[in-house]
Amino acid sequence: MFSFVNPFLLSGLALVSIPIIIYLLHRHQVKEMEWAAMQFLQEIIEEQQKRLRLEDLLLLVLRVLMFVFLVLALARVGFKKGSVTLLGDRGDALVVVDASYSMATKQGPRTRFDAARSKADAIIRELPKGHGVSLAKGSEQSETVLGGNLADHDLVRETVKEMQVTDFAGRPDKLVGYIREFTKKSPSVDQTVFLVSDFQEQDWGSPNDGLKSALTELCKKHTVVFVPVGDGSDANLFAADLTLLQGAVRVGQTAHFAGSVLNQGSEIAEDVPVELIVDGETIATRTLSVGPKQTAEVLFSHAITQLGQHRAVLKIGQDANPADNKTYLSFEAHDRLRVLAVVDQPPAEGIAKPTDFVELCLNPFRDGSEDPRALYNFVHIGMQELLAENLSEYELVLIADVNSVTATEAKHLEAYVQAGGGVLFFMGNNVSPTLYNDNLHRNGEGLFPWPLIDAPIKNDDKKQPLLLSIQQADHPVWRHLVSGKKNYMDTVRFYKTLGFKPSESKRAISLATVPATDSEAAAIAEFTLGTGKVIVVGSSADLSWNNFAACPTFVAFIQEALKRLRIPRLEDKQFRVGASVTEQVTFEQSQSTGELINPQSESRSVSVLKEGGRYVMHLGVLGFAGVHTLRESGSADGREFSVNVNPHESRIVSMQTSELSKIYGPMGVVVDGSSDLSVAFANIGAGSGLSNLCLLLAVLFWISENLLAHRIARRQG
Amino acid sequence: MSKYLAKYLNPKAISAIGGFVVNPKGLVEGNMAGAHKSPFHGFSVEFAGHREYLPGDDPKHIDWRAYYKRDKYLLKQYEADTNLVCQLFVDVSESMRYGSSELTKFEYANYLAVSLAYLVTKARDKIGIGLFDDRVVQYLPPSNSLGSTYTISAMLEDFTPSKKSEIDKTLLDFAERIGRRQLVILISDCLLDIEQLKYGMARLQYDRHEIVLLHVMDPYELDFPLDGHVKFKGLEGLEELKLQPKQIRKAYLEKVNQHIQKLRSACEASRAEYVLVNTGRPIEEMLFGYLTSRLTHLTRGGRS
Repeated sequence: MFSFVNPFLLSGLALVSIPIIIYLLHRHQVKEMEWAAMQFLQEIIEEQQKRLRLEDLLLLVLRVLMFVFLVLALARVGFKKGSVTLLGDRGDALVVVDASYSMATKQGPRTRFDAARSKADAIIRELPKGHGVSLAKGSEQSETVLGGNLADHDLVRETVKEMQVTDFAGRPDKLVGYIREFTKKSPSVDQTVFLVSDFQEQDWGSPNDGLKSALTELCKKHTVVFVPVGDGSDANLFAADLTLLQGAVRVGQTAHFAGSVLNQGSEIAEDVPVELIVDGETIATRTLSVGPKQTAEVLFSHAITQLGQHRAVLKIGQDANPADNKTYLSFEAHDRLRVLAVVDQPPAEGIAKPTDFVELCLNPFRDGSEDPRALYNFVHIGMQELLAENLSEYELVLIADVNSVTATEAKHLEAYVQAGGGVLFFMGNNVSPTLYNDNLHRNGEGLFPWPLIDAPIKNDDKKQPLLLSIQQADHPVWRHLVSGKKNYMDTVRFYKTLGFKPSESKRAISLATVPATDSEAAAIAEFTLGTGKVIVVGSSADLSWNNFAACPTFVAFIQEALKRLRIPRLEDKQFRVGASVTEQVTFEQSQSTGELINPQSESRSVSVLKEGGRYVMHLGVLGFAGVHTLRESGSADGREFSVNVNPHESRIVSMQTSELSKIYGPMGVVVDGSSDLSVAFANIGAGSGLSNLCLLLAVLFWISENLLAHRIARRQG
Repeated sequence: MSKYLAKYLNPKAISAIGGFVVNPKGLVEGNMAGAHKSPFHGFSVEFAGHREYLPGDDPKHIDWRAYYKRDKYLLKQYEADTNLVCQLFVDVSESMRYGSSELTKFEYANYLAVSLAYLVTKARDKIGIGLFDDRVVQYLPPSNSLGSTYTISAMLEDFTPSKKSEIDKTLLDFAERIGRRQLVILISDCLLDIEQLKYGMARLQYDRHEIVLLHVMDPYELDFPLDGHVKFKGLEGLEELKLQPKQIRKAYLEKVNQHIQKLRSACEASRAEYVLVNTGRPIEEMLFGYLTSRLTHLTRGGRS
């Protein structure tokens, strides 16, 4: 299959018809004449007819071939082998250099990205002069670095040298989608696309149908060359996570950090130094050994002495890929956080309340909220006082063992949750499921999308606990309790609980179930309303229906539930690179513009838009790992939030040429894993050579035609 | 005499060659006293010898001196002079119809024949003519009448070539019709079998005729200057051929030259004179040249 740089010149193939037309015209322009000396002619014909016809045909063929090869040479022909274009002198080239952070992996003294730049440089250097080149960075957020098919190859090569690895992950489908869009927009009809990448096995090893069809389509119209630069090594450590163990940090108190390190390699990583840096100061360094494909956790504690925002970084020692050796956490140190604890009757001083266990979890001191070290200031009220409270002043509303919620109270709570607030419900002996359903379920439109089952669930043998089955093991409330085979919740005994009857609802998640009469009932559930959340524990907050409140797991559960339910603040969120963030702002904040400063200290102005009655700022796609700051324009203070790299990209195992050829060869992709790009550039040479060969053949045919014509003329005398 | 002027009696040719006489190169047998040497002895001027008297001989020819010396009646004999009988044998086959210019070979041959007839009859010699294609189609016995020229011209004018030539049969037939020791002028384009021609000429040679072959060829046949694609429609019933003449010109010329060479050889073998006549040359020029060369040849040979 042939390809052409100047396909429009193929119209010149019409020239081929000239000798044929002349030949046919001559044949038809026959003079007739009577002739006497026919005997001589007949003798000659008998002797020479075959030769004369052969010469005639040979002349015609030589002339036709001369035109054909001349036109092919001018059209700069290349050739395809099967469905794969073997790079003739194609129109323009797009060089895509994978800039995902796995490309920062070191291979000897150089990184994969260094190798990719060298390859890209070699590709551009070898491309025929006068052909346009575009340059792009490939990742999940691919971007064109130099578009417009530049003829100045030197400029493109200089630009290649200045390219840097990004913090984005690589996504083959997005990358190929970008290439397709680029080639569609490009004026050049057929292009050669060079993708220089480490071709991570996890991404490229088993392409989905969408990627296959996209690549096949692309290859039908363009030449696609994969230039792999990665080696087969898999040794890489990933600073996977850094979190605060407590729901919030109180100034003057010790903050507890949990860091985790993932070993993506197939060999154990020993004596890995792990360092915690808070506000630029190294707090502590631990040494870990992490088994292959294992995650190891490390705990740090540090007293936070200043109110306000802080930055923590978990940093591991140098390994193959330094781009994923840090994980960032921004957090705020508070003075006191208010929690509204609601029970059925106004609590009397000194009388145990169902919320005491929760308070103890959050303020683990003898005097509870009264202790000067306590972070949470618990405000205890009876249910009848709820309407008098301005709920937006509280980080959390805790409702435990309340008999019923009136419609007005339900509305009051709904408004709070709708605006982003969080409510934690515990059930108990006083609870009337029917009354709850009347105002909180409201046929699925209230706070509870699911209805409570009318009667508590319990075993006939009261001493036998219910079989508690944890759902959604990756849910944040189970962060420290359930992971993989680990399940600390198996020490928890629910003897009696109210349960929800699950049904199809986008607002509800079942977090734990127990066997009910006819099916499983949700004993712990999370509901969403607006931007806020509700977590309901069907059992009691004290020890009357379970042992949960006395278990250590209760502390972790309450801490994580609190984090989950607190009014979401930008600074409390953790984002991944590549996330597109929209932040809601108040009316007052909407009066000015925002300014986003990334970890590279580059600032960008962000406008406030009104969307659906809300004021929002579109922060756009976050492209850097690190701590970002969003502030009001002109203001010195801002809110900080952390962005970390995508863990998916930390698996650095690359595919090799043979594997790539096996998978992508049938789709029409050329894979050039040679050190000198000999596959691609032998073919470019072949393309160029083919064009030159055509020119040479045209000249040869022209000379042959002349020689034959001359010989015939000589014979004719 | 013809009722109109002879078409083929070309005034230019007549004025150019009027002074020439067609003399035979050897002895001829005429039936009248004439200007040409006869192989027979008779009673003329130059003494040739004696023979015995036979009853019936004219006694006036008895050499009385010899009687006295030898006592025998001997008759004096003298070399006889006789007239020339020239026989024209003109090819009227279809191939003679070809002509690239204003004259076809047939017309040119006719001009030649009539002009020669004029020269012969002007010298009081006899001229006869035979026309042939695959047979002798017409034959006019020799006559020394000046009107013969017109008769011959008219005969040729009325003829249209249409058949193939067969020279051997026709020459044998022709030889049967004519006597001996005559001047036979064969006018043909010679597109025929040379072996047959040789056979025919051998028959004429046997009768001690002087043979002249005027080989008439068109300048196109001699030079083949055609170009482009040409469909040649063969005369004498030959099939058509579509050719590019340029491609075969050299081969064609070689063939023609070989043919001419073979004709020359055949003529030499039959002691015939071969004259290549290019119909592209003016007739008067051709005849003048030929007759001049013939005269030169005869003079060099000691005859006049």
